[in-house]
Amino acid sequence: MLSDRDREILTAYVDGELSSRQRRYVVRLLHRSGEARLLLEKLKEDSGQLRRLEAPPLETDLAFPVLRTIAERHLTIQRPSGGRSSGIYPLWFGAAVAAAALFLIAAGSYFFFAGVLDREDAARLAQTRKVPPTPGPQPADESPRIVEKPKEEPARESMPEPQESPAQPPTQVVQRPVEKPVRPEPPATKEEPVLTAPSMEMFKLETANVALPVTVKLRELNQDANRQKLLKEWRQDTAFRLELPCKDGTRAFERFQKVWKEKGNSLLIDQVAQGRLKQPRFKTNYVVVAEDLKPEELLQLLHQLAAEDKKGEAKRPPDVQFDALVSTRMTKRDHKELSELLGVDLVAGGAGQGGANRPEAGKVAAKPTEHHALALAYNPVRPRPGSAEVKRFLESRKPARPGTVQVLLVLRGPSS
Amino acid sequence: MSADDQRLIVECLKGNPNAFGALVRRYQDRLYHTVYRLLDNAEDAQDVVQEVFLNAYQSLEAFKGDSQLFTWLYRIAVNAAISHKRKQRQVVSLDATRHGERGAEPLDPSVQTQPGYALEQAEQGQRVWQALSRLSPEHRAVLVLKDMEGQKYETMAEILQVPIGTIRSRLHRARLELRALLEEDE
Repeated sequence: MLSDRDREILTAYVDGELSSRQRRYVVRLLHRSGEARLLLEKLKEDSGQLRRLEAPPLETDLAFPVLRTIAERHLTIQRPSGGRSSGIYPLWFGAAVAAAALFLIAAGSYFFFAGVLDREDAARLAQTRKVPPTPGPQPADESPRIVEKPKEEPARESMPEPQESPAQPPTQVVQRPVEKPVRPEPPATKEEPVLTAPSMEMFKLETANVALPVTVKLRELNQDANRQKLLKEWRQDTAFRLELPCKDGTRAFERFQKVWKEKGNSLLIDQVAQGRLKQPRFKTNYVVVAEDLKPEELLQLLHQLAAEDKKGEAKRPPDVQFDALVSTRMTKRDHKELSELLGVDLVAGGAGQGGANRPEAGKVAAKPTEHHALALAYNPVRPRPGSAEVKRFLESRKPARPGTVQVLLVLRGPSS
Repeated sequence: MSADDQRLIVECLKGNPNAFGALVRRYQDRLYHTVYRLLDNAEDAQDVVQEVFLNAYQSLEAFKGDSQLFTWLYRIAVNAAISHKRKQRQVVSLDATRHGERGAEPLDPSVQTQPGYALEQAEQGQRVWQALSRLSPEHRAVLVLKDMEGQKYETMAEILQVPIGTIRSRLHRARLELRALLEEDE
């Protein structure tokens, strides 16, 4: 068993960075250890393979975009700062000033608010215990009175009287003014600041129309309930996104392509997608844009796709690509994504599905016609619009027939 | 530093952007190859190299000329690529693959259309790329710099800004890890 040190020296040997003494050690090690020889051989092989890996050439001159970005962003060569430590004040000075300022603000706030609250409390207390201006004897009434005379009045007589000035009138029992029962005062007579949150805007409830996705098993499209569910849904709108999760995007696309063409339809495949189809080992998702499809035609197409897929069950190993179909009405986001994939805004384009002259949904379509569709490698993060196939597809677009739909069909393989 | 580089830098500092364009043209291919090997994605590599040049332009004044200009650019590029790779690892790619298969790239047709490229790389190269992509960005970087770029420990230490001993131990671990991954695949 090789020690870690031996292993490390063997990897450094592969790196070609050993001293002559270390190389002699490796030679001796290799002489006596078969395991070392084997490991070295493998490491050299790995290193050789790494060397043989090629990077594709850079196809664009970066000087132009770099200079353009410099101009656009107004980038300038930044002068290196002279170092903060060489400034007039040490580094801690800024922190100390900030801490002192914070402390002063906190202390100031405390004293300010404490003073305000004290004054308010005092004013409120004075308001509630205010003595009336004429404290003379009150006429007798039925309400209870608070008399300042203490209960132990008789005992008080035995106590020495306090010295009083002759001018002072004789001591008499003064009745405290009657405190009326506490009643809320009308706001007009007394305006006291009320500490509350500012008035809030009332939250207005609105009804949102949310179209839920319709999900069915592709192989269950022969069931009438499922068919009706989809047809009903597809008659509600004019553009739909169909997600078809599949085991392998390329295999699934080939299956779709076969079914689509058997129907006499044409399919334009973008160059990138064509390249990906030739490289099945690269996992690829595909998107198919089809227009002018009646719901019944779309259903028939998917039904046939399900039938074609079912044939794969007989193969060994089974080659079933599809499972569920998820149909959603195209949202603004979907339309945006489609526009980015194609490099053109189909809605603004006018012709075809979703255009300004889009016919009303639900009407009976005219005679059947050959459909054009466009297939792209689905990479919404880095769309590559504007290929020749996209242009041809856009040129071949016609105003949509009444009651037909636009479909964005995504064949999505498993992600990691 | 070469006299040409020095002259171009002086021109840049005087405010001549075309001189910087010349520097870009001089080093873009080498930087791109290195970054591509670290990222395994043509478009990302282009983006990163472009950003590297922009950063370099802004920091040109800070380049003291103690090392080669390329080494300085290389340092910025490798660090940017490692940083990009780290961020990328946290993102679930829409078009990613599983079972260790290489990602959706190259979507770039240029890679696919190179005569013999796919064939030559298809078997063994594919496995090595896969294994390489499973290494940490730091381990991948040292292997790329050493085996693919043929850099010395000393230069690598300067580029990655770590001691030579760290380079040596990282390479040791990276080679053994790569070996283990390839053996898993065999």
